[in-house]
Amino acid sequence: MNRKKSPKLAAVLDIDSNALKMRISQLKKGKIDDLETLEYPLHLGHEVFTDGRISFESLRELSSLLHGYEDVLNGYGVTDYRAVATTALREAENRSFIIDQLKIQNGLQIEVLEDDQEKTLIYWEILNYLNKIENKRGESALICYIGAGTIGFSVYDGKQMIFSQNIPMGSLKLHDMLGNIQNMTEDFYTVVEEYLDSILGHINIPLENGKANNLILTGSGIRLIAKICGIEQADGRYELDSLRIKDLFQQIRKMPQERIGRKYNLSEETAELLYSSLSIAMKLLHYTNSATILSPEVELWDALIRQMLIAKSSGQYQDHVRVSAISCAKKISDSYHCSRAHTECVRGFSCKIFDKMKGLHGLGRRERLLLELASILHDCGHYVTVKQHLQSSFDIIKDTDIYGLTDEEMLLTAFVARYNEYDVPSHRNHTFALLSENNRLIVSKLVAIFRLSNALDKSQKQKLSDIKVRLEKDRLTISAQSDANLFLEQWAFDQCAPYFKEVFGYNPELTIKSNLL
Amino acid sequence: MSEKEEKHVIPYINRELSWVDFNYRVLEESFRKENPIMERMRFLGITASNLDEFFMVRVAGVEDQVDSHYFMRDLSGYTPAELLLTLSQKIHSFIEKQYSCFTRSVLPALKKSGIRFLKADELNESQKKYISEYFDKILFPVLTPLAVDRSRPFPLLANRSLNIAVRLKGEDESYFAVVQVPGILTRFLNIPSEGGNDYILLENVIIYKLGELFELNEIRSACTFRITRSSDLDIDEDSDDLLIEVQKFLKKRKRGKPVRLELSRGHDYETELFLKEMLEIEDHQIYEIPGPLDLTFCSSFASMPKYEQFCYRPLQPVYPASDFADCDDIFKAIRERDRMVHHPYESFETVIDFVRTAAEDENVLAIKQTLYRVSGHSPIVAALIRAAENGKQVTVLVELKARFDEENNIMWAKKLEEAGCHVIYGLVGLKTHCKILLVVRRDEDGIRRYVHMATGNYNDSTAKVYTDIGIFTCREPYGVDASSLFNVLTGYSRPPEYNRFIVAPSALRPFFLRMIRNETENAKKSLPCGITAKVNSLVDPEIIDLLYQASKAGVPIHLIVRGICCLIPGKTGFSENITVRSIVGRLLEHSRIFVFGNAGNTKVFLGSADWMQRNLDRRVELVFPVEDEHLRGRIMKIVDLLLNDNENARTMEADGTYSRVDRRGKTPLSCQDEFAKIAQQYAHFQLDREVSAPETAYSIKRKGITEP
Repeated sequence: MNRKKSPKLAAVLDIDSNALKMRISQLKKGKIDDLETLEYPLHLGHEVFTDGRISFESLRELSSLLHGYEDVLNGYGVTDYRAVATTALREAENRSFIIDQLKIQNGLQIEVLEDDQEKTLIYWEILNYLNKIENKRGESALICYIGAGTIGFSVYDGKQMIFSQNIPMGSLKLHDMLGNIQNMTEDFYTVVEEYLDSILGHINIPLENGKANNLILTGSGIRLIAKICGIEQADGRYELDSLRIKDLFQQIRKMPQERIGRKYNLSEETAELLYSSLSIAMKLLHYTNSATILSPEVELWDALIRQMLIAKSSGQYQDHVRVSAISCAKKISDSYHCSRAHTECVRGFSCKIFDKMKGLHGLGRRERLLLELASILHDCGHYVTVKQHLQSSFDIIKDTDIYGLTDEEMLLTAFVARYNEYDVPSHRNHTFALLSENNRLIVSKLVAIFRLSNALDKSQKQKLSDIKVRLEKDRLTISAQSDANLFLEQWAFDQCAPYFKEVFGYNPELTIKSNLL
Repeated sequence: MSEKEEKHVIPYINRELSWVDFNYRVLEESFRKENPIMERMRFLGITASNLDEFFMVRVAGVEDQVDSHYFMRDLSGYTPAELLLTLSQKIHSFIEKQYSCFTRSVLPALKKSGIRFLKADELNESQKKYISEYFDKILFPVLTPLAVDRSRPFPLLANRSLNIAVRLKGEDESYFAVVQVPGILTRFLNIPSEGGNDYILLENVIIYKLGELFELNEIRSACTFRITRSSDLDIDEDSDDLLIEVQKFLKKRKRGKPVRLELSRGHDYETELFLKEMLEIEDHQIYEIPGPLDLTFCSSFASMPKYEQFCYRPLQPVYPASDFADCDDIFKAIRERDRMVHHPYESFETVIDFVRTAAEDENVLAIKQTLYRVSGHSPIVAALIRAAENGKQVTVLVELKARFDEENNIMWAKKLEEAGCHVIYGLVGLKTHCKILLVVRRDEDGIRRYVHMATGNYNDSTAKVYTDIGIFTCREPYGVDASSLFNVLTGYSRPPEYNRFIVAPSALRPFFLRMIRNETENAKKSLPCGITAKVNSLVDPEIIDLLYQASKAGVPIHLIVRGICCLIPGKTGFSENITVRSIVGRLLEHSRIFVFGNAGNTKVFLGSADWMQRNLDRRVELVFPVEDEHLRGRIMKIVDLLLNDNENARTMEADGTYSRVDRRGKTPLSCQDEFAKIAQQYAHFQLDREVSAPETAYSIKRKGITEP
């Protein structure tokens, strides 16, 4: 057969907390068609959440199963595949050894997805799905992913994602953490509820009345709840009545897991999952006015496979992440009373300089996004203290969840914001010194650009509405038109110029032309 | 069992007794004068080999229960001890009938055809000379008489071997010797005669020449005997009624314990006492045989090519099968619509072609198949090996536990592995009984999966005599299910929620229960309803109970059960709406078909499972819906013919007995002959379009489904 006519195939192997899974799909007539879905129970999550590491017995089992999965891949002639791992491997203390062994034994390069990456991919699939439903399009929604190790919590205002928070407390983890109390008290359900309150109670979602029009829940625990409630999947989703969920919770909240298992014919592990998921779902019901919960049947691999099979999809995803991350950052920036006009002005300048220097900095769209986020968030620290605002901004940003960004990326963003004036990145800062060389380079380059941009609106009065950026032999010329008093900006610019030159070897020059001339 | 459950008693025939009834029905075929004489011989041979297996597995199982002091009554009201006694009585009667058939019906009929089985004293001089020579040159060197006395213990005799017990005169008292009739030599010796059709059985030659074996001793008496031992299988898969204690006992059980002693009639009492003591056998286990022991030789005798004219006219399986006529691309044909093959009327070659084509097709990526029982030189296995050599990924599930075929299966498994196939042996504790073949192919518009699902094994030999149905499809949900099933069998994935497949052990029982209950509900609502099921055995009490409930609600139920049937039809208050028929003919009815009226939207299913606990709970079985309307129509016609057979069908009466269908005023109809005719007509129809389509070749009133 002409290889050109060969179908486009892709596969995702997913090592998650409860199972090893694999999906093989093909692109057929422009649509994704699933060929195989394999799922084998592996309880890596239990090991990691209780012992902190994955045992070598489990590694051997995993490796042997992966050999089998490779056979299935070969059966379809699949060469384009990604092997990803989520919470269990991510949190395992011995994750490097495990990944190394899987590479040696199976020839597989395992990508450990960061929590944010995992959730964002799922949210993207959910939003794609919601946009196909007529009466849900444009509606606000609280979208939650209840995973084994974490809960993803994000808010969609009908246009964009405006809030995102990951809580390191999934259904399995909740059980593994509190499970040992279970035998000590008959009021175990109270312990679980209070514990969840202590975590979820502090989340204020940025919507009117603090409630979303829709509650979207996903994760295997939700599917289990739907199944027990006798709800059939229709059009790729389950629609659960919140009263029914409350009823079910009332029925099981005081039952020991072994009895829950017997009542619903579940294994003990599945009964644990049901209990925890239901407890979490009950708490999340507080955040919506809706009487129904939607649970679309989307999984991590749906997004990964889409990106692998549909070329433009990857770009669409990147755009989605950027737009959402920026809108989330703006919400946070607003909550710290940052000047929107200033941050937007700086963001605009930063992007201009960044884009012009494309051939020199060697950075990509992801780093550009970090620069944008640093621009939006760099003044948050002023809300806490004027004296130490740079350090405060750093502290706030590094611990903020921004949609689609990893903790590491947020740390880099915090450094960019931290060095927006006065100091420059240096090994004297121990935290900075701990970054990888590559990351130190990224931060340094972004700082160099950001400092210039920030200097251009040092007075925060947007005296320069537009700038032109030119690269000449050994100079970066920034020209603008203005009749305002720009001494402060010029001074600040001059302060930043040496560092810029140190990083890029280009001397930045600011040229202002009068409008009157 | 709760008190309430204890009181819930249903009419239920003991399965072992029902099995003996089945063997009676096979025996009837050897009585039937309408059958060619060699086929009658063959049926007789089958009854004998059936009975051997029954003793080795089932009777041995009941003996174990008795030995372990298990005394609970079964659903039919028997304790194991009572059952053993009843079985013994019933089998004794059966043997009388079996030998009456052999000596009074079959032997005279053979004689009429010029074929004679002679005893030594009936031989003429030249024949006597011949057997003497045969004895001296062939037999004598392989015979090993084993004397039994204080210094020489009783020999360990092989299961089912034929032996001669010789009582010899000693100094003070008699002593014994055992001569094993060599199994490596033909049992029936062709002796010179005018027509060349005179035979003598080997044991008669030995007995005739015994004096030469024991020259120094005086022979007091000699008689043939044969022992049947319990099967070496650790625990019979069917032993659903065994308790844990019994299972423990089984572990301790002496392997190969004798469960039956057959002695030729006319043996002397001392010999019987001696054997009884040596073999530790009880009276009820002793069977006095009024003729030659071990009639299994009848089957091999009937298979001699020289007597072909005394057999059925060979069935010519239609090739290519009608659904594949005029098709030069098997994959294209399946893409156009689902295809069906009805074996053995349509050739199994079609299935072999499918695997062979897949093995050579450059676009085929992978082949996955279950193999339960394969023939000696299986072309399927050869094609799979070829596929692996051609670089296809070949995965084969070989079920090593297929009873009495273990050795054959191990041999093939090794060959497949050597060729590079990925051979797997199924799930621990579950026999893989489903018959499924999956071909993954890279078509122009994407990957497509071609699936063949069948009611019978991928065995080209048995496919000539077993009636089975196979369906080819490339419908996506079936492809997804087939992949998932193989992933479960390979141990790569846990059982998913299948789209179409209903797979035992997890889903099959609930499925059948739901479907039967659904018919009951439909009957209560006066909606169209009905159940027609064709299985090899119906044993499962839960299914039977629900069928009774359905019958009580007014659901018309037609059951076609070849073998064991524990349900009793026509019982007032239980089963007035149930009919049971058994079809025993030249071909072994093997397909499993399930039809449910389903409120007018008739559902048709095929599968590998019988209605027995082992199939529903302890095996990997596959039942699947037939969605193609055309194929559903074909299957419904098959069911109609099965229900209208009046040649080979027996119906079960309310007292549990079987009787032939009353065909007064009806045209004789043998469904098996009719299927063969239809297949031929189809073939003709495909070759010559002027011949009318076979749909019109018969017209039968449809049974089984009520109309609104």
